[in-house]
Amino acid sequence: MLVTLERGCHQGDELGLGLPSFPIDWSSELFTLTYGALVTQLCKDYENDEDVNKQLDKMGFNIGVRLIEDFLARSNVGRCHDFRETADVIAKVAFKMYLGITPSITNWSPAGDEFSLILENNPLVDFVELPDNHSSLIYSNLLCGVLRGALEMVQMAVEAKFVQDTLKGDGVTEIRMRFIRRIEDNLPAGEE
Amino acid sequence: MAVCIAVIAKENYPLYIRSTPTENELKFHYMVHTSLDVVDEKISAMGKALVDQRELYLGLLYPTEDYKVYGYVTNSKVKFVMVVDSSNTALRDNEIRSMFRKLHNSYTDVMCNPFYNPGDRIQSRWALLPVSASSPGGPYSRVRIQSRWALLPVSDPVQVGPTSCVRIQSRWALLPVSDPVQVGPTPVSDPVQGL
Repeated sequence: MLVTLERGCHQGDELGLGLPSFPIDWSSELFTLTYGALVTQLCKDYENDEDVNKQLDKMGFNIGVRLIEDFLARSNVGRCHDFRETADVIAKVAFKMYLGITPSITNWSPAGDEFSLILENNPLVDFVELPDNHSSLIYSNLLCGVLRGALEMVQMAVEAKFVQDTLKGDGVTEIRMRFIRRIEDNLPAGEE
Repeated sequence: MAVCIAVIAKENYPLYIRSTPTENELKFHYMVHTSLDVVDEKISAMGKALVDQRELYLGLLYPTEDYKVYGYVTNSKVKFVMVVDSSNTALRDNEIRSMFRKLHNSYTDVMCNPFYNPGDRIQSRWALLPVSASSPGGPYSRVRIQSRWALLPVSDPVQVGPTSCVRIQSRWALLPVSDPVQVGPTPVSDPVQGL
């Protein structure tokens, strides 16, 4: 959805690939409302918060494996040498490009394989209030799937999960990212 | 400072009513209910051209000895009714208009919540407005309130005798959701169809 919206406008195409080189201004409210409609429809279809969470993660994964190509083409970042560089690129370039926000990176584990992304405001959850019967729903779980899918395509197996969520009453939204291992085989691990 | 604020749906049932906790909220509910007739009269008098913001605001609907009632209708026929204290002469028309505008903004924010179905009672924890704020300009910031039950429960239980159990179908029934109304020694077994 994000990619097709952006391909509509061609402005300043340095790479000669027919892709825009900077984010196009599109209605973020429409995006928020669309995501909200998606989540509520999933809730109606699955009736069970855990299933909805899994489904959001799967959908996010599918988006991520495609989004990474668009990201690499547009941002022109080189190969990251370690997980810290990856974290920086995710927060400063990727989130900025697609959601217009820049989360901060904190809470590095001593081994350097886990960190937290702190989002002050999450554009996906504008105007949203979780009702009581969906208290275990992870509303923005799509983001975790996207991160997991995108990094898997660059040979990194990671785990992403929400540890704090403004919808559940916390002050900020926090995503914990953990590096599992480097993927050595070249076969794409597609999950359909 | 408003004493009571109500959001009424297109079909004339209440979506949200909130009044300052006084001894007789019933009075405000009746006031809002009766003001709906005046609103309908004003809408039909104005005709079909309701595009300008000026015409969304209906102005003073009717004054009583203690209170004044103001109205505002959106283009989707959702009505906002506000009851203010007559003794508060400092409140000018402009302030009432801006209060209604902020109320309208809060209402659209509630509408944008994907879990809210249009037509449902508004049980948002982000209060549309805390009526107890002291300044007239202030009350409409989104403040997280503890109570999710917009209609404050009627303090005196309705005395209808020990054996009668009235099933109230009207959406204007003023009863708390959680506890059944004690109408005598026999507790009500049927939960009353409240709002």
